[in-house]
Amino acid sequence: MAYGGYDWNRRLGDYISSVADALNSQNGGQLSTLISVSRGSYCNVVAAGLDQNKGQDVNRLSRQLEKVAPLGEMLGQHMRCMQYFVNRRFVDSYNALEKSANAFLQEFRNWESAWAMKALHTVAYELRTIAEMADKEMASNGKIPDKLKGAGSFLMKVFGALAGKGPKRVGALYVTCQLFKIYFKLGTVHLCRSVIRSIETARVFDFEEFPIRDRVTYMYYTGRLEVFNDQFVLADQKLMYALVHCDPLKKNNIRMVLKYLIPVKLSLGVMPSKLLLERYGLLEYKEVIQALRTGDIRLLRQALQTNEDQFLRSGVYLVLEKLELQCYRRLMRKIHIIQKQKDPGRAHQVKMDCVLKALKWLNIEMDIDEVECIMAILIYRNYIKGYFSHKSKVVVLSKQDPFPALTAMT
Amino acid sequence: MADTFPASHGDMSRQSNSHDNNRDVPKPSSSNNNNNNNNNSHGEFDSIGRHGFMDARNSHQQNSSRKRNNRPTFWQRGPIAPSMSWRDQSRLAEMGSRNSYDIPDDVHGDAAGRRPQSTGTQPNAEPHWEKGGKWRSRSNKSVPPVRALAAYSDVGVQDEGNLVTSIVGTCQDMCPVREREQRQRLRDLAIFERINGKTDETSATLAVKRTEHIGNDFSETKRSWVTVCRTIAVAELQPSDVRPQHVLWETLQYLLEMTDRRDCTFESVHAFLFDRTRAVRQELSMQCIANSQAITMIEEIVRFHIMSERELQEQIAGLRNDADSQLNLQQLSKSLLTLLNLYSAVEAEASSGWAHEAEFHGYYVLLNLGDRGHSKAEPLALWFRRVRSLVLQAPAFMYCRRVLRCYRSGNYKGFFDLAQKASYLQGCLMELYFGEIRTLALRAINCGGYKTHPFLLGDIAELLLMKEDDTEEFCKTHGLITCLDKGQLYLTAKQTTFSPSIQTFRHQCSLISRKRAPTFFQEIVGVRDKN
Repeated sequence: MAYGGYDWNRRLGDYISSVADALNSQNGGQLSTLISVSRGSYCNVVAAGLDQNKGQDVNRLSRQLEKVAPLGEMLGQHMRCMQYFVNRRFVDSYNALEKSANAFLQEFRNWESAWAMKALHTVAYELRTIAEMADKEMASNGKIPDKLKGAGSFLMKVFGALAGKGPKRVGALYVTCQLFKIYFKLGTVHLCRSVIRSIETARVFDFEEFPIRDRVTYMYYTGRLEVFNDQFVLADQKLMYALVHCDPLKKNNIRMVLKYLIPVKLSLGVMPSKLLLERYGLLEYKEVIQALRTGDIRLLRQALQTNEDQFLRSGVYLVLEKLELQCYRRLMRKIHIIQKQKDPGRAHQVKMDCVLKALKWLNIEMDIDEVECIMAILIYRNYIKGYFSHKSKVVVLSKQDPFPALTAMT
Repeated sequence: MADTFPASHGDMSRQSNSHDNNRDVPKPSSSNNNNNNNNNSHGEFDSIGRHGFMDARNSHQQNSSRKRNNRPTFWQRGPIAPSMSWRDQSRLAEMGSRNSYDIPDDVHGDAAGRRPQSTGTQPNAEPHWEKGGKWRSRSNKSVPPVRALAAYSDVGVQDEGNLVTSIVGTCQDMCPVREREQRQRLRDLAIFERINGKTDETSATLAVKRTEHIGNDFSETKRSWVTVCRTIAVAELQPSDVRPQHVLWETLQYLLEMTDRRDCTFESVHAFLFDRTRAVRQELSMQCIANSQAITMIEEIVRFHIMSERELQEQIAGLRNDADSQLNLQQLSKSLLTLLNLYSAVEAEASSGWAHEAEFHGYYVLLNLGDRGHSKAEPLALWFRRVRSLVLQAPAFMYCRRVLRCYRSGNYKGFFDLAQKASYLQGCLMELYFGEIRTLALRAINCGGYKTHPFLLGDIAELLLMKEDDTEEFCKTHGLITCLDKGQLYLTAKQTTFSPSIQTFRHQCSLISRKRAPTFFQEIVGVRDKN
């Protein structure tokens, strides 16, 4: 070892003194850097120090920790957490972190100002990150992963400490976003509802006052929630907000927003440009869009099948599948245009047989009754305006605006 | 017998002191079963004040004992060798099952007989084990008890964090002696459990263990069955109250055969089985049994609930409210979730996964087709993320995805076309949505149809898989008038009086009924019954 034991002890002592300094000067930024685990530079120093120490100088250490009262206990646990983390014992690391976070939260509640907000956010971030690692470790050891769930409950407590009135509320949205990440990962998205209610119903605090970073993340997740409920207009608003306010340099974040915004926009009849798809590497949507442009049901089905795995994993498959109705609408429109060129006088009468032929040409097996059913649904859902005759198997399109804008559709 | 309770697996540091004490409480003993349980403060079978709900529902008297009394009683075997450790006990119980009755080969054609309760390697027991028989395991992979119990998380058996105490039952009857005697004394016997209809006399071949409850209350006025299910701490149980795997298997077969009884109403049979099959699931959970036989059992229970749902819907048309159906649906989704968990917890022998994995994943889709709005269930879009690709492409699952597509796009013609191709059980689930889809169809036809070209009612009936008379009635309940022209009924479109009916149309669709196997039992156990 290049350093003697004394050296490491001194380094530990320095670390603890820096924490004490940050506390005394109420420097939240510095404290945050000091207690960062997974992306901090102090983690290795502390871990190496404790490894070298091997409990020989416990008294000395605890004497040093007294300097950071009332956070002595917290820092003790936190240093343990760092040590376990560096040694890749993530379950132990998480357990220590939760104790540390608990002690920190108690003190945080007592402080009137929000100076330590940044440090609390770091704690929240670390809780989620290390819990995920701990869960992986548990799963590979044949145990039931429950740390992320535990982190969720703990962050709800943190949220409770922030969500009230006062200067701390500004930090609540960050914790909300961490909670969303947990709930989406665990598939328990119904838990998002109570947090959303608490954020959106508060009149004392304007949403725009939250930091921009948190607002973007929040809108991204709530937008995705609306996608699950097929609420495309709301999803559009939220995801657009996220897109517009997202840092233009964060290309990957923009891509994540677009991944969900594109299917939503498509459902509302808005097609993205090819350039956009290429710039953000979202070429899996290319064929879907082409199918929608041409009314090619077969191509749509093929495109969904080719990228099935990707679409299913990102959770947009069901939305894309629903685009089929829009594709039928486009097909009707194409037929309408062709008929207009041939015989403008009777162009608005489309024989179902004609649709059937087009579908047969695309190798889509369907009988005339199903074509009629689809026409009925298109009319009922306001994809096209007109009526159909069961007896003569004809769709009569409205002479005015037979294909209304989809954005008006509910 | 002292070591019937296994040492804890997992992180001892999480264990609280109180838990330590709990684990020492049970003193398993096979001889004191007959004592009443006054000394047991928890009183698992303490059913004073509990109504025998069978009696409350149905006073139907029948002589159910005749057939069952003649039944050979394989479960009346002696206690299992007491000197064995708990792990070996489970083995013994298992081998008992192998010898005592014949399990046709078909059952485990899918999984080639994974050995039950494999909690680790036991070299000593292995040669003994390998002597052959249907349960021989070809692999040494095991399901840790923690994961087995996690799979059963919907059953209501407690796990202590990551610390599992599993128990191995020694009860050789369908109903533990203690519960049987107590219920005899309290005259708390279901009609199917009585000898010659006597409310205080039953036998080992008739009584079946009930689900562990506290605070049961069957309220006659509300006609609802309120059950507060207690979370069972495994440490409180005695092995003599728990049935080992082979007894559970045999019990389940006995129960499922009852579905075809014609001497009583289906509701009474369902009420009996609803509770008893749940007890079977509970005990599989308590003993951390996760193997191919457990999977087969849960599969059968799920099928039972699906098929029951249809029968119960038929009954609802009358005076009853749908409390039975609600409870059945609840248990259906719970047991289905348990099953899907088991599929992923227990690794299948075949590389193609479990034989019925796709079938049951499909049932999940069919059960959750509808937008259940504010339910706590995971949105289907998120659920799909976790479905294995193997299942995604399987024909049985692809079929259900097509149904989902038709449902979501409102393609009622496609939906009913698919319904005609459904298996019986798929049909049972799809029928739950028939009312909703038919309403949509009427609405769309009424909205988009041409006013002067009325729709022939017979065509609508054919489209919606209904009889013409029923279609007429269905239109009426939706505020639509039909008119008669040249002896045929027509529906005119653009009627402004359309109002969606809450009163859904309950008549069973004969098309689905025709798909059923000759008996309910055959439908539930599937291929196994061909022998």
